Amino acid sequence: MSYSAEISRLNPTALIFLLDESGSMVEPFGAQPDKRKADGVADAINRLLQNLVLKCAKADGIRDFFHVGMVSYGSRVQSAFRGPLSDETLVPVSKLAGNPLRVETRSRMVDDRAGGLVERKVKFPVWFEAHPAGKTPMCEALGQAGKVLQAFLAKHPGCYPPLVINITDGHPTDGDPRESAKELRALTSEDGPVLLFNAHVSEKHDRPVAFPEDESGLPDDFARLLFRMSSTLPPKLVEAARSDGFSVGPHSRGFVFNADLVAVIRFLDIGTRVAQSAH
Amino acid sequence: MTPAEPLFRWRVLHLPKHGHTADEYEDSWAADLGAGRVAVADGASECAFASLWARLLTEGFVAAERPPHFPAWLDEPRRRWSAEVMGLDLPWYAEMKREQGAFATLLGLEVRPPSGEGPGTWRAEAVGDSCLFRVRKDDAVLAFPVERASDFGNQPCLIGSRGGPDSPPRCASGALLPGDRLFLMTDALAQWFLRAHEQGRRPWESVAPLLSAARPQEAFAAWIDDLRRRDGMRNDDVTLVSVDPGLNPRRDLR
Repeated sequence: MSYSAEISRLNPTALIFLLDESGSMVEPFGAQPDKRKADGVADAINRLLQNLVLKCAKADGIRDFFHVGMVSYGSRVQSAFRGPLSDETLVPVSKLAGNPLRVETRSRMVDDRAGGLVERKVKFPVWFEAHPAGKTPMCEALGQAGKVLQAFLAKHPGCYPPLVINITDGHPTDGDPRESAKELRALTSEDGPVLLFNAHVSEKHDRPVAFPEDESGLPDDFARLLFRMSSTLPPKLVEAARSDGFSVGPHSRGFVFNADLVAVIRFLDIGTRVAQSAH
Repeated sequence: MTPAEPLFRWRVLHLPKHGHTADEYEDSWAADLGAGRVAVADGASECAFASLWARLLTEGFVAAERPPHFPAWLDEPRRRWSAEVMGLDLPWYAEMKREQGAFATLLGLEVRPPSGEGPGTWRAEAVGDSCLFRVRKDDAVLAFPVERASDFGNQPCLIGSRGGPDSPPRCASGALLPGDRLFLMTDALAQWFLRAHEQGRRPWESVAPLLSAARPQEAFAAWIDDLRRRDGMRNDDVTLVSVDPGLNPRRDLR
């Protein structure tokens, strides 16, 4: 059965994040209109990476269950790692954990465990800052992810299929990305084809959508395009999403509209999880 | 006051997940023969400081004021967990994991000897999917708290080291008859055991030769390795505690 390989240090998998850094990303983000879409993407990727690191963190260090890549596309298609990681395309998660650009301290209201809220300072590591400019070469970015994954799959043929997460406003300028997406999803490990998930960051105020089974509730052509490019969730991820409180079915796709994909990190099975509700 | 006499014989066999070192094993067990108590716990792999928490839970269960009463007795292990980890200087990610707390399952068993004409008894409490099996007359199996192999998942109920809403434990109890054997197992072995039994096999028969082997721990490691490779056992830390109450626990174990 596909998508059943164990994710472990002996058999790690890869996660590649594609980040839209095009000029259109300066427009306001529908979910938080005081923010630019580009800042919505930066927040999303920094939260995704933080959750990924925490998933692998133990008291004595980080376990390298994942190798992580980050590609931005705007004026150029390039690795989005900066600072000490700037020459890298794919790094083990321990290296990512040790090399954020900076660790900010932010205030957050948290449950005081007595029915109220209390302000708490929390650390917020930053790996990516947006500098939106230029066009949206999404096809090229998908191709770049494919190249990186081909090399990874040659080294780790038995891995849990790698996951590519594309965060974009969905306005490609270098052709129809469905073909590039199809080529990417045609890459396989012995455990199944590469997964491509899309997070649509839109200026529209429509209600957020997560893991829909069809495109009937999607607000525009860009959302429908990204939905069609997205992989169907493997059964185990459907099960994990359902137990986290998402409304999903067997045809649910790895697509969200104005919602974040952090939950997907929780769905990846590396052992006993601590249950939590998504909503 | 005379020292408490043992109420049962017990053996433990354990193995870390394949690919992990012995230091990375996050199950735990503890027993207090005088109190007639034994416990196993399984630290959740996505937590930091989970093996410490599993150890404090098992030690806390067997040492608690009797009878162990959820959740009041958890105050002491929680205080000890905080005392051990809160002062540590940690990198940002380990600090965040510490903030989230550690989580573990717990299965606690208390065995009472026969009194007067009455039989011996057992009583178990469980949070999560670490399981107790009572095998009688080499056949009848009572499974607690998970009764079917298909009911295991990767999000069992857990006890947290930092408090919060505690899942109430599930409880079970029964009589102990001569020849009864009790096995406590963490989830991967328990799931294999239940599946084998559902297929009409007698999985407890595989355990007996391990316990009497010249090097039980090595025999256990080879057996588990084989089950992982050939019989579909999930790769996870494995712990097996075998409890033999004897024919008449009070007299037999003097």
